Amino acid sequence: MKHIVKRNGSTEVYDTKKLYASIYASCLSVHESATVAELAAQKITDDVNSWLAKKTEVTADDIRKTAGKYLSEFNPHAGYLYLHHHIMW
Amino acid sequence: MDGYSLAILFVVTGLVLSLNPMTLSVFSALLAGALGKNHHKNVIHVIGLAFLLAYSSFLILFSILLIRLLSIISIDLTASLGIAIAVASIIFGLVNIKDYFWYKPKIKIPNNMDAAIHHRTIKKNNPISATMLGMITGFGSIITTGIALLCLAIILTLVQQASPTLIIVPTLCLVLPLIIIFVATLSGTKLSAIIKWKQDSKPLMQLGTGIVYIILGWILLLVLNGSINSIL
Repeated sequence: MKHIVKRNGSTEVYDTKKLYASIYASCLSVHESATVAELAAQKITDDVNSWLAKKTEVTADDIRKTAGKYLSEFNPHAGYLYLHHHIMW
Repeated sequence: MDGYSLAILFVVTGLVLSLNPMTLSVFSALLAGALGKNHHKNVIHVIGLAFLLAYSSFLILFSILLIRLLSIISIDLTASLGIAIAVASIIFGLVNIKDYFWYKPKIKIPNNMDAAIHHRTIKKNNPISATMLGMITGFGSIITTGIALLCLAIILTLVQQASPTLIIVPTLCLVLPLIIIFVATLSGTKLSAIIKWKQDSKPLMQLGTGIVYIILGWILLLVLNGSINSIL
C-alpha cells in the first residue's frame, strides 16, 4: 500500500479513485464529453500507477505534476487546468 | 472636477482594479468545480450568480459603509485621514510598480486558506458554498481594493457637488470581468484559456494597479490642497 506525503507533512494512503475523479473533473471542466473524460481518467490513472510502482516515497505534489504532465499530452487544455487551477495568485 | 471627470475616474479605477488575480482565480476554480461535477447547466448558473451576487453585495456594502463613516466624522478629520490614505496609496502604487520592474516576491497563500478555498470551490460546490465564498473573496479583495475605495470615498466626501452614490460605480466595475468570464465559460470558452490569460497577464495587472494607486493618491492630494474644487 503506497503512502503519499501531503503538503502539510502528513501522510495519506494513495487513492486511485481520487486521482481518477480529479482527472475526470478536469476534462469535464474544459467541456470534454463524459466519454472522453472517462477514457482520459482511466488512461492517466494507469500511467500514474505505473510511474508510482517504481517509487518508494512520493509527495501529493509529485503525483499532481506527473498526472498533469500525462494529461497535457492527452489534452493540453485539461492538463493546463489540472496543473494551474489551484494557483490563487 | 465635474461629475463627468469623477465618473471617468471611478470607472477606470474600478476596471483596472477588477483585474485582480486572486478574485479571477477563485471564480475560475469555482466554475471549474461546477463544470467538473457535471452539474446541470441551471445549477451552474445559480452557483455562478450566487458568487457574483455575494461578492458584489459585499463590496457595495463596504463602500456604502465607508461613505457613511466619512459623513459622520468631521471634515478636518476626513482631511487628515485623506493625507494618510493618499500617502499610503502612492506607496502601495510604487511598491506594485517596483515589483513589476525589479523584484517580485512570491505570494504564498497559507495552507489552511488554500485548503478552505479548494474545499469551497471544488469539493463543496453548491450555491450556499458559492455565496459564502463570494463574501470571503469580497473580504479578501479589500486587501488590494480597500485603499482605492477609501481614496474614492474621501474624494467624494470632499469634492463639491459630488454624489455619494457614485461610490457604487467602481464596485460594479469590479464584478465586470467575472461576469465576462462567467458568460464566456457558459458559451464554451475553455477555462484553461482564461486561467492561462490570467497567469500571463498578472505582471501587467500589477503594473496597472500600481499606476492607478499613484494617480488616486495624487488626485486626493490635489483635492486636499484645494487645487481641485474641494469643500475645504
